[in-house]
Amino acid sequence: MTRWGMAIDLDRCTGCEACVVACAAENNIQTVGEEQAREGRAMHWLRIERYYEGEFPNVRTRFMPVLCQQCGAAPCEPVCPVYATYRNPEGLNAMVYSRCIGTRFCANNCPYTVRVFNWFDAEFPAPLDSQLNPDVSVRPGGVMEKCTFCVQRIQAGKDEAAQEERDVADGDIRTACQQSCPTKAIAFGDLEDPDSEVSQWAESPRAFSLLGDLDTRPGVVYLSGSEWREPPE
Amino acid sequence: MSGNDGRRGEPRVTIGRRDFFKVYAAAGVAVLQGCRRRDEEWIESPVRRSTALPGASVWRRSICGQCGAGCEIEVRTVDRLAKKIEGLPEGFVNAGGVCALGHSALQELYHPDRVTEPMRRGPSGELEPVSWEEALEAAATAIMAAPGATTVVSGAPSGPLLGLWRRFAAAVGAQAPVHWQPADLLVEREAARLAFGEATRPAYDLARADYVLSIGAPFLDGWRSAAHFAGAWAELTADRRGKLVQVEARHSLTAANADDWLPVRPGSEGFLARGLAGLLLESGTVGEAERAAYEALYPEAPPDLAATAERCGIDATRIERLAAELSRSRRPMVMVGGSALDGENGVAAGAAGLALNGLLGAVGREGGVFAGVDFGFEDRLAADADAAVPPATLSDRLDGAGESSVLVVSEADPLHAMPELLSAFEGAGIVIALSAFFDDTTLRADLVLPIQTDLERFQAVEPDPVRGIPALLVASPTVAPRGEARHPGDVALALAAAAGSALPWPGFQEAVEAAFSDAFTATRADAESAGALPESLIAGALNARQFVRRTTDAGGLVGTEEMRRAPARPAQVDGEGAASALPDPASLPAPAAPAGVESFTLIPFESLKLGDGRGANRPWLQELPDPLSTVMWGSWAEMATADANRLGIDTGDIVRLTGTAAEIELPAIVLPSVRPGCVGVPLGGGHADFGRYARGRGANVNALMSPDRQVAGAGAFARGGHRVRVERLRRPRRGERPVIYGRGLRQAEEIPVGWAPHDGGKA
Repeated sequence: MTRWGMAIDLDRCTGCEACVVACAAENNIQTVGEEQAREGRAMHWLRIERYYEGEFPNVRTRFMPVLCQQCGAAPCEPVCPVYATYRNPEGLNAMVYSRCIGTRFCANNCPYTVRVFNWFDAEFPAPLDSQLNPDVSVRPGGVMEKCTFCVQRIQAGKDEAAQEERDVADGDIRTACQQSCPTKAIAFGDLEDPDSEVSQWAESPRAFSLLGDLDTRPGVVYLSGSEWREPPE
Repeated sequence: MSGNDGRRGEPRVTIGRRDFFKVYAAAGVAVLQGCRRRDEEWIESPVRRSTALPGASVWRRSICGQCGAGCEIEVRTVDRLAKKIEGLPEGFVNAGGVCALGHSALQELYHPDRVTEPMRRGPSGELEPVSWEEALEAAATAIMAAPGATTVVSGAPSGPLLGLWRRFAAAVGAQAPVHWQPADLLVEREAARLAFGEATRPAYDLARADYVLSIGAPFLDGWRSAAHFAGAWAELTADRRGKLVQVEARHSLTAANADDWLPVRPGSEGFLARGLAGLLLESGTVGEAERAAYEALYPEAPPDLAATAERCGIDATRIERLAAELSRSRRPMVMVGGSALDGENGVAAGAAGLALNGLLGAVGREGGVFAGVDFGFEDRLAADADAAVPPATLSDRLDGAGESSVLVVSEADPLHAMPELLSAFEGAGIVIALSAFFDDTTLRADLVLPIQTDLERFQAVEPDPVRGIPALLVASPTVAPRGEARHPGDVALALAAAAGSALPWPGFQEAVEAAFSDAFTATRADAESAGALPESLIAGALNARQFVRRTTDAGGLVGTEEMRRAPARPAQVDGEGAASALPDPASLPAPAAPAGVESFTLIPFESLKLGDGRGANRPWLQELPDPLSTVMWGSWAEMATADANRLGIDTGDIVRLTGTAAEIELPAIVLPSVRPGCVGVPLGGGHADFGRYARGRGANVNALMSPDRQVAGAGAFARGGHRVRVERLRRPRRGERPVIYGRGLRQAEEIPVGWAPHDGGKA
């Protein structure tokens, strides 16, 4: 059985946020405008956390893309009273938008704060709506949403492989964030396939899980390494 | 991937090297080469002749025009509507990457406030729709009445389109066009001319260097090609192989990703370069030839370490360490750009920085600096028309403008970039704006001609020479144009015809194809006379027409790796003539602060989301948190913690920045990474219009700059080094509080650690 997973090499991430815009374009994520954004209601499914260390002039900044971790033991799932969010057989924390009644319990229980709520119906003033991806539904007001690992791309990849009577090969399916990354800091694939790129990355000694001690068993792996070494004399 | 017809399952057809043809000109420089043949779908007009089923996706190849870099992209279209942009994996510049601004071209295309029909200012003073015929006639009449008083201002990057505007100006009898381009680009070219003998932007082999000193070049912030340099940076730093040191007063995204950041005093970058040269010369690692060449450029002795440290405001030990690391690295390289070039001494600073490459043996070496070469298609289209003049010339032109003068502004917004030009601008007679939006300049136009955005137009682009290999990329439109928008090149040709000075082509595409054909014919003749005509060309009996077809089908002309070369050496180095020494930044006086007033050095900067302001009309970008301050939807002033504490300013407080002629109000963001004495403000705010998402949002930092301050020797307005007074006004009122994403920039101690070894995510 497939277990979809992602690995993000923080040593390659510059914080450029191309992935954030790519995600919005692919997944019909609405912009909420200045007033709502000020209330903390921006809808990004993927955000770049940034941290600084040190004091001027010895300041360093670190960047960390954070998205739904597609947990193997997801705290968001058991609190949904209507089963609108569930774990699918391939390891995705899936959302059934039409079932969601907007209790927001799931967002409250997510330690990664990656779920966002549609406080209002989405607005795409014409002809901005011409850009909407026909493979992804536009979520109505009152519904929770989050990263799906570009499930429409996963489905499309499986359909195409089925048409060609073959298995999905590693690299066939690329998430929007992965595809746009100029530094190729993101790998995506089947964690159950030991030869997949994402599994290889996950085997790295630099690999770790975010908030791993919560035992949420994330499907997202982060990689971070050592400081730069002096060149040989 | 379903719906990806035309991409997956249809491997690209490529033409192997044996099928390439090369025609070497007698000079041995110009090589024309058909290269890759891409999507079959792309070859014919894809917009009107698509055979795709309803609802199915077709991917079109195109070129991103959001900046002048020339990144190649694929556009997913469904039912002839553009849905998504991806980087073309084999893209000449970007190799598959695409930046946030590039993605947002879709929102430029489908912006609800686009100008989609020609408009003319009527008797009521309002702009009213007119037909193209009426608009062109009105424009031509004005130009014909005063051809000598007509000025074209073009924001097109260097290349065929600019060449066409030059040709247009010559044909109608106008003065040479003003090329409205980023100041640091102009300064970089002039610095390269002084240091390398060639006035082109240098190519940097970042990926193969092992130690990169970037003096101000914000190459991860959108400078030149963010996608190209991010990929190269990743190769540089893969497995901690190489090191990046960023010298820049502001903690830019590039500085944030550097292994070492030297926040020098603004304007002292050139001094640092000269000081480093002194340390390198003392180190004993510089060869005699390199030393002699450097001393031919700079006969004066470089400043010593103490003077350098004092002027730059940096600890001497850090400068010493930098010099030591440079001298013992195997493939060190020095880049210059951005803030190092935007002060009045920018040319001197840039040349001093580039000249360090000579001392390090990095010129023309793997992991070093190469010449920025191009095919010269701008000149081919321009024929013998005068070269375009730099932006600062516009001030003089406007000063001399009378009521009969005509200003044709295409794809540029000079009034946003330099608001102080407004009064002079209003003295011009007729203003004709070619624009897709009502921007600060278009609002004051008498005639507005709607133009196509990148994805709607035929494109012929000479990309930024980041690779040191010449190229001319070509792409057909990916979607039909909205409304009555036309290609600016087609408008130029129609205007020339209406003014009775018709040029020999019906449209821009035909002009480019004619240039291809001419290039082919000329180089073939040269090659034949030199006896260097390749067998493949003779056997293929390729003629000019076939060449044009093959070139446009293949997506353009791309040079070979062998064409990468070192820049020529300046005359001083070869001991020729009595060439004068380069301007020595160490001998220039330090900028003085106004007496009696506590003033700050203003650091205006381009963020990678709004660029120089061109991204401000896209909701995706407005709502994108700034990579460092995390601010969305507005402008802000970055201040150092120490300064803010002294002035009693907290994050969110509204402050007033007062320059010589204007003042702006905006919220302060206090950051630990700002150099004390500096205040950073992003470009891109304060548009008078530019659509509903940009209109009146934020403050225009350009208002604090004066057109009187220019970069010496470059004809560019100086963006750096302006002094401003900072006052705290108040706590933010309702609606004034800056929109800070999440909890903003956080201390490393807040990182949610408890990181555990990954367990494969198994439940």
